[in-house]
Amino acid sequence: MPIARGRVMASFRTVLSILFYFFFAWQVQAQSTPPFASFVPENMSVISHYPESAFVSNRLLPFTIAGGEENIRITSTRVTRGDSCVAMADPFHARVFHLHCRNPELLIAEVVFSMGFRENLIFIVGPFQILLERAPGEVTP
Amino acid sequence: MKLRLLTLLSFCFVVFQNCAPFESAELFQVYSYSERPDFFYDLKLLRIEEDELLRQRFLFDVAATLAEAPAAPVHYRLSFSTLMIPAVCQTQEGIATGAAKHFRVSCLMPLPDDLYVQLELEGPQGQRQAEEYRFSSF
Repeated sequence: MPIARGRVMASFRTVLSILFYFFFAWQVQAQSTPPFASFVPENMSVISHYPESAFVSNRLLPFTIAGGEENIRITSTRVTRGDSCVAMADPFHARVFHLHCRNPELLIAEVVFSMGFRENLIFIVGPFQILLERAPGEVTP
Repeated sequence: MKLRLLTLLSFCFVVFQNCAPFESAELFQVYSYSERPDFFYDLKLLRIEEDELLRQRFLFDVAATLAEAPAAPVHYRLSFSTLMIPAVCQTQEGIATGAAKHFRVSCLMPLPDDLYVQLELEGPQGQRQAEEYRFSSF
C-alpha cells in the first residue's frame, strides 16, 4: 500500500507541475493586460471620433479617452477579439488610440492607461461590428 | 520520471510559442500620419459605376474629424479634376459633425480618365489640412 500511495503522490505532483506550467504560459500570453488592472472611474469614457456607420474594414478608427485628469498616458493596447484587427496608441495625441481591421469582423479591444499616480486603468472597448461597407447613418441593428 | 517530465515541458514550450504576426509592423502600415495630425480623415473609393453612355461615376466614402476634439465640427471641401479638365465635377462642401462626419460623395466623369481628388479640411480654430488622391479609372 505505501508504494501505491507513493505512486499516486508522484502522479499528483506531475499533474500539478503541468497545471502550473499551463498557468504560467497563460500569464505570459496575457502579458499586455496586467493582472492587477482596475477599471476606470465613472466620469471617464471612450469617445469614437467617427460615427458607427464609418466602422468599416481597412479604415483607421480613432478614439479618445475623455474625462479624468490631465496627464493621461496610454501604456498598452490589445485586441481581444478580431483576428485581422490591431490596436495602437496614437504617437502624437496622448489620449487617442486607434483600431483597425483588415477584414469585416467583430472587434473587442483593451486599452490600458495611467492617470496621475494611478496606473493600469483599463477600458474594454467594443464589441464593434466592422463591416466591408456601410452607408452613412447606417448602424448595427 | 524527471526526464519524462522535462520532455513533456519542452514539448509544451515548443508548441505554445507565440507565432502571431509581428503586430507593430502592421501598425506602421495603417498609421499614415508622419507628423502630429490636426485631423483624422479617410477617403475611400467604394466603386466605379458605369452608366449606359459608358460614363464612369466614382463613388467615395469619407470620414473626417478633428484630432483634439472629437465633437468639434470640421468644414470639408472636395474638388475633382483630371489632367485635362480642372473642375471635372462640382466641388462638394459641407460641415462634418456628429453623424455627418461620415459621408459619401460622387463624381460622374464625362470620359474615362484618372481622377484627382483634393480633400481640404478646416477646423474651428483655423487648422487646415489638404490631401490629394489619384484614382485610376482602369
